[in-house]
Amino acid sequence: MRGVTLRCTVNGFDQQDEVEARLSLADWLRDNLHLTGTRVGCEQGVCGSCTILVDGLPIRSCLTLAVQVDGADVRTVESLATSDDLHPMQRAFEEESALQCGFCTPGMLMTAIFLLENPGPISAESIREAISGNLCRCTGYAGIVRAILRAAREDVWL
Amino acid sequence: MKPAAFDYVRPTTLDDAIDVLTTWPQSVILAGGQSLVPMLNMRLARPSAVVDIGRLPLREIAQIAGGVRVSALVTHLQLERSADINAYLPLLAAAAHLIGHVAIRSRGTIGGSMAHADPAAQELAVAIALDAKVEVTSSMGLRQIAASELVVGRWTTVLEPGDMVTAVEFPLPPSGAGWGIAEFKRRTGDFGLAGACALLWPGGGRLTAFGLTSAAVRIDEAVAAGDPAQVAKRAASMIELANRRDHAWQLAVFEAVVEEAVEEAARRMVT
Repeated sequence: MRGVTLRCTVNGFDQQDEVEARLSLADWLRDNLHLTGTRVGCEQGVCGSCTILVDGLPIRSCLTLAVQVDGADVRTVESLATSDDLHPMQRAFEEESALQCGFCTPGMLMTAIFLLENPGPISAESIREAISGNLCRCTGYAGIVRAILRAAREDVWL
Repeated sequence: MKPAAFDYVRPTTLDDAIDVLTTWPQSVILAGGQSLVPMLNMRLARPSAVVDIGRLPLREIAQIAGGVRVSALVTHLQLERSADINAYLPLLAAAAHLIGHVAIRSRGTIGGSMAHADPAAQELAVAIALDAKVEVTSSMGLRQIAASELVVGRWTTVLEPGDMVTAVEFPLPPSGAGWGIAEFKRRTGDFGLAGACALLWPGGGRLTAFGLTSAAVRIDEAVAAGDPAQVAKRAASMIELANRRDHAWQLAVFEAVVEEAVEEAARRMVT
């Protein structure tokens, strides 16, 4: 039984596919659905660039098999911007120069959105803890922390 | 870095899961996958079959007489956020919070952590500190194993093919007991290089070391040494490391985390 049927929603759309059980969720999103916004860095859960939301919780899509999200609600970075507008978090990243090469950005954005969509104090310290699982080799994090603080001031979260 | 092909089954009842495990002794159990999937990706594990237990009804946190029963698929994030755990066994919530990052805690499970038996596993250390019982189900039925007897070494347990961890039962510490847990790691989310879990009550207490030796170890006698600094010195003298000379720094770090855990426990103790 190597081909498994997978049904779930991705960014609000129903998806159905036949996949090998060994296929990672990250590879399914990128190779089968062509949602290449989700980056694959280390494939062992360390770098955080493949972080997406499943049923509202941040997960490592490289450490999740595609078949494990059968029945789940999946949100990737492609869910954020509309054709006209950036998402407030993306706008804040732009305004604060919170990216350079951009490889970590999709994972950073999804992690930051989880933080702001859930109750709890928002401070530079809580932001640093929240993004501690997402490595950025360009910015030194200062701009990212400022961007998330800036986005938190917008009245769109809870 | 892609897993080798494997057969995949996703049972929906415990009976079916046990049947599958009994029929395919070479299979491995997939719960949250936060330890197994990296091993599959790196092909350190090449199982012929994976039994995904994610659909089993094992997500409950329940109060039992004198304690708390946590079913195997409860995630670290659930423990960290649970009102019941924070009210009755805040030590376990604090231990869960120390694990990895939020995107790891959202999927990693307590049952998986017990079965994987990493030397630095925080929830396993708490289980050993509290004399918790690990509930194991197999085709022979259900049995309980003392947490301290579950682990025989680094990533090695007494579990046999066909066994599945289905719950952990934690007795509550004596009433009024203070608790503390501390660990040292170079970066948030790394495996701890030295950890300590302390329980203190008037006239007694317990100390558990983790992350240093192949399995967490109870060194309760150290608690009698006196103030936190003295307890830490005694504790470090009780730890046997494979290579003491190279790891002298690790014992120094261990002393610091013991002191921190004992100070926290003393502060929370109700006298």
